[in-house]
Amino acid sequence: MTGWKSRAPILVILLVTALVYWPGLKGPFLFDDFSNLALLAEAGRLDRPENVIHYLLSGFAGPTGRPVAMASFIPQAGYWPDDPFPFKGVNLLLHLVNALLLARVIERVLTARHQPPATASATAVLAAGIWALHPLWVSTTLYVVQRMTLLAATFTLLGLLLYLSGRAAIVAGRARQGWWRVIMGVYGMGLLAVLSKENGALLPLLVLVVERYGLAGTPVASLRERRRLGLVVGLPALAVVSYLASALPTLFVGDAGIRPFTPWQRLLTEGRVLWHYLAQLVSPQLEPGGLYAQEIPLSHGLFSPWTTAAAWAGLAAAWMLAERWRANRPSLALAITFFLAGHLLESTWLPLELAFEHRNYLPAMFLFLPIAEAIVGWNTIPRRVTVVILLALLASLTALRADLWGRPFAQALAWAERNPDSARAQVHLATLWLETGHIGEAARILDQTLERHPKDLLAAANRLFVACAAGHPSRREVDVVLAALAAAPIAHTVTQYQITRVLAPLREGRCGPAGREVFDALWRAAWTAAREQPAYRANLLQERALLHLADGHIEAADADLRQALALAPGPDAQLAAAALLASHGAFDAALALLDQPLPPRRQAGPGIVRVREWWLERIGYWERERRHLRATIQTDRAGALPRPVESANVATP
Amino acid sequence: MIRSSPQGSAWFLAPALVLAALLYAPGLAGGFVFDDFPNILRNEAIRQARFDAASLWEAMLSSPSGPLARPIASLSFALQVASQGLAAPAMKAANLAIHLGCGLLLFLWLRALVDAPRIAPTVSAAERRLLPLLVTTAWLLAPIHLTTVLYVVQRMESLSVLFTLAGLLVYTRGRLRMQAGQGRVWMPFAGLAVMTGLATLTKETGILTPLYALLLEAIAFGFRTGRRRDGGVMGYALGVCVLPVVATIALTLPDALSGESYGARPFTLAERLLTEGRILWAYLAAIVLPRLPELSLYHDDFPLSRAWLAPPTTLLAWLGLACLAGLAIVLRRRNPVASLGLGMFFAGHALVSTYLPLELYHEHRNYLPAAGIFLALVSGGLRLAPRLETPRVMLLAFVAWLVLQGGTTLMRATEWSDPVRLAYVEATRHPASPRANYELGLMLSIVSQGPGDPRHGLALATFREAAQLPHADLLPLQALIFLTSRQGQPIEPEWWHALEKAASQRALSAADKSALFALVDCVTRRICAARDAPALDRVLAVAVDHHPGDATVYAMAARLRLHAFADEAGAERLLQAALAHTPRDPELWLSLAEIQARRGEHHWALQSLERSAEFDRFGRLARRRAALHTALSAS
Repeated sequence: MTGWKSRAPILVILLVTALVYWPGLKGPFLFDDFSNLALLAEAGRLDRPENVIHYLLSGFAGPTGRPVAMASFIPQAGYWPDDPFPFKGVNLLLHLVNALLLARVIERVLTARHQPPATASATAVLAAGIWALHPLWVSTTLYVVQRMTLLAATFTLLGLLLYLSGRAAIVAGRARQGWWRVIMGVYGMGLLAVLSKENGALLPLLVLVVERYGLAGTPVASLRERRRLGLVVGLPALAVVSYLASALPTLFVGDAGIRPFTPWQRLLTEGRVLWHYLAQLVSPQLEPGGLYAQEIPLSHGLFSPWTTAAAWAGLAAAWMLAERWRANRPSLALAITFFLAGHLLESTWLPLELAFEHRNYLPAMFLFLPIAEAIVGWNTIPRRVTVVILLALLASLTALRADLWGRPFAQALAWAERNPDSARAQVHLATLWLETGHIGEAARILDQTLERHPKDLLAAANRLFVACAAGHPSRREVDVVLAALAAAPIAHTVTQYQITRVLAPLREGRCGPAGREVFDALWRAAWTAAREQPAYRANLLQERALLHLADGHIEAADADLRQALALAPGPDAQLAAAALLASHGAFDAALALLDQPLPPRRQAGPGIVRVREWWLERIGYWERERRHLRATIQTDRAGALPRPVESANVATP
Repeated sequence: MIRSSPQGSAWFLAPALVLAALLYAPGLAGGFVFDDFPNILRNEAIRQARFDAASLWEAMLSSPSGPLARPIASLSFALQVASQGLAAPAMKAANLAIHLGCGLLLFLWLRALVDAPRIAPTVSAAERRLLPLLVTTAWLLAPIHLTTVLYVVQRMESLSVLFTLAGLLVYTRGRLRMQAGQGRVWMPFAGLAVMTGLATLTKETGILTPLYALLLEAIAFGFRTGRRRDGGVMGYALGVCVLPVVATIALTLPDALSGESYGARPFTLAERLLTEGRILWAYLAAIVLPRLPELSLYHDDFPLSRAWLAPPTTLLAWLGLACLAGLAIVLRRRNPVASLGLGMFFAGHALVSTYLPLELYHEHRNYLPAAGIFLALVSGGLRLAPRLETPRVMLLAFVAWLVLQGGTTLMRATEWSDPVRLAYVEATRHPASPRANYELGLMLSIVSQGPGDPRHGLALATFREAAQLPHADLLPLQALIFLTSRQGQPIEPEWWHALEKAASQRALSAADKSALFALVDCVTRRICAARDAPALDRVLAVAVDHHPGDATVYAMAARLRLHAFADEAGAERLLQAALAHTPRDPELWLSLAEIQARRGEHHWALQSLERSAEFDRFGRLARRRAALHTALSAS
């Protein structure tokens, strides 16, 4: 099966997929894009290898920092933050690559089952086509930061493909070549997948699922090779499972931590969430909910609501059916178990948010294989028409949804309408209304949101800003913010980020002179709440120092910055504080701070932070930066006019 | 396309075409009426259409009618205006040409139809030869089509039917080729799909094309090719015919059932459904035995059915329709032609005469359905003839019937030759119709020379009368105020009170809003006296208060505030309020951007401009936006 004729169908599908996604590429950056992509500008110019390494090590999403995904942003770095188009374009390209890889993987599975090549190829293209054109992936493909999910899927598929081709080589007697591929696939691609997103760690487990459920009827012939394969794949799979199991005890502690649910409640709820996903996959909708998932009510026990038990019983039954079917209906068994296994990390008891559409991106990959197989197997009902209608339907839904993603305000409206209970969706819409001067409408939406979620910090803060835009912040709006602040989990980085987002505009005079008083009130409340968060207290002190600097109170600012350094010492913070003082003309204070010995690197933090600290110390980064900064400040001081110091190279991880 | 065949050459149709042209000829002299005004005369994009792509594109998207804006119909108007100017006779002549074209296509389609495998065995040689010619002749001459042909704006209907007939022709020929072992299964369906698209973009009723095709397939072909049931045909029929029908229902039904869409109508969904049963019989009577006094442009005085027995004819009408439908089913094997004809009548009314919140009664809705009735009648007559002792009686009866149809058309066309005469005749026949009376007043006021002219007084009297009729909209009141204010004379306070009362007590229909808009336009263009602006402002304030969800009311009020009072801040507030209710209106966003630009709120203006672009899916307002953008970047 070579030549144009056999490749035309998949090419047509890829072309159609590209076309339906195209209008969505002109959409804006959203939510988490900003914090993650901001790193592109923080590590300094990315034409120096050291800066590149520094950048790659500075990711904060997940314990690995996801350096492979971070690396994938570098070619588009020049377009940040003005133009999202190239970022979304690369995402789309990856989605197309994934569709192509999926078709190859499915074809490999089917040929390993000794299906005729023509049938295998047609089935594979159709199954991959349904998946590629499914509208559920719009929120994965067109959300820049989901590059992480897309890349992890790419490497997982490459891993599966290498494994399957290696396995075929072993079966064909070319053991040496085969083993090389299996190891490259499971370990090489597995590593790249994990470094794209932690979910990639599931690769070995997924290989086992494909082997056990998808290829049960046609195992590798010799027992020895089978055992070896089991060992090579089983060991890393075991590692993943034991990692997951190590978090099992949290189920019985009942500590919610920073989330509004305990791990046990989350596990219960996820049973229902999985069926919710399946419903969306089977009956695709135009705009199922966008990026918001706050609406799913929590399960508090197996029978509250009763659907919890039903959902879990259903999942268990599905698994048992898969066990029974794996000999006779392997595609069905594979579809079920791949979906379940693919959700093992993100949809069980690890304390992540409850639900996201993108979590289905990889798990749903084999879901449409049984359907494709059934359609290809028909001979009475017209096949071609059915295929065209089915794909055209999916394509038009995806086109409509992608088109919506290309229109920020229309999208915000649709989200707010679909998620009347989601504070985030409503706040997002309100801020967009504010951009066109619709102060009354923004206030109305926020008031309505605060009625339902009186403790929502984001809604409260935005309500305050709306009041400022209207010219008169009242005591009431301030009190609402203070109440929300008191209720917010201050240990949560999201809360800290939100508080800073409120303080900064107040400091910059967004609410006029009254804003200063509000700043003081909020600042004191946050300071008191954060008594166990020294790092965050340091952050708050920096905010206040900025206020002092704006007022020309150099000494007060210097004192705040020094106190901040005492609370959270670090070479980066010290250099940044010096640069800050210098940029406001306080050269002597800046030099004095600079001359103090740099504190040693931090001890704690997730894996990636330690690696970064170790590496920066090894290349003497901070000493070099200190020299550079001192020279710049001295030059500036020598100049007649005090002017801002260029401090682009001072990193603030 | 025209070639000789055993069913008779298409040239046989020539006399009927010439006759139809002659009968319609007197009517070409008439003027524009009623809905021509908002769609063509007051539509700037069409009035100023030129032969350049941007201008024609804007014109295509400019119609206020229907959810899809009927771009192909608008394009045809724009092309004609661009080449011949805005002249009613030329536009009516083009409509007549479309009518004759439809006749030709109908003939060709029927000629192909009689060869269909389930029909050919049931028709005699004489039927085969005569049926297409006789049906088409009757259809070409029928007076019920007069409002479709001589009413310029109804080109939307006739042009859409032209595409529908072309689709049916392509489909039937393609299926016949398949029976002969030639051609591929996708060909008839591809042709049908393309023609459906064109028909639907001319008028939304074009979406019925696949329904006609489905009927045709079921009755004339039986989903078979040769002797076998054809899976390919069934599959394509599912995709090309069933899917659009189901989608249309899915898209329109929930809205109709919600009840909200009926708000501005003087009837409920149930009342409309009940009444349409009687109206369908009125249509049938007008098709089969047309009587001049019954035919009219205005039927807004048709009495409503309130319940099954109020009036009792409601139940009777629906029972009768059920019998007719039953007859169509019973006849489908013995006389498939008649069965198909009856089916076409029902299919043609399936959308416009059922649950949609449209007006009740329009003759042009029978443009294609009438062909079905003629098909059933002629087929019945041709079968009956050989059984009669003297078959010639049937021929005489047919000729007499044609004379009735054609003669009525000629008389109607003569009525239509003069707009004032037409308005007068219509108003006399429908004294209870607010529309007919308004139109008469309008025509009188157009021809009058001013206050001294007796026709001016007559116009005012007619408007006063029209305003008092039950179910009258605000158009007559608007006309009264317009005429009086234009002359600089004082407005009677009751007129303003009547407007305020209407604005505060009932839902505003499209006609009501267009009346209010005409007044705003009159004041802002300084045609009406400036001293009348405050009173109008009060009416609009009342309307805004009582219709908080209606963006057009806010937009009108904003327009008045801006142009009559130079109140930019007030206009901005009103537009913002309008957008909070209908945030997806590109024109409102653009108007807001323009005001914000004038007020120096440049950041907001740029954002509002972006919003307008987001919702202006086909770039209708692109030129206006580009102009504002340039102005904003320059300053």
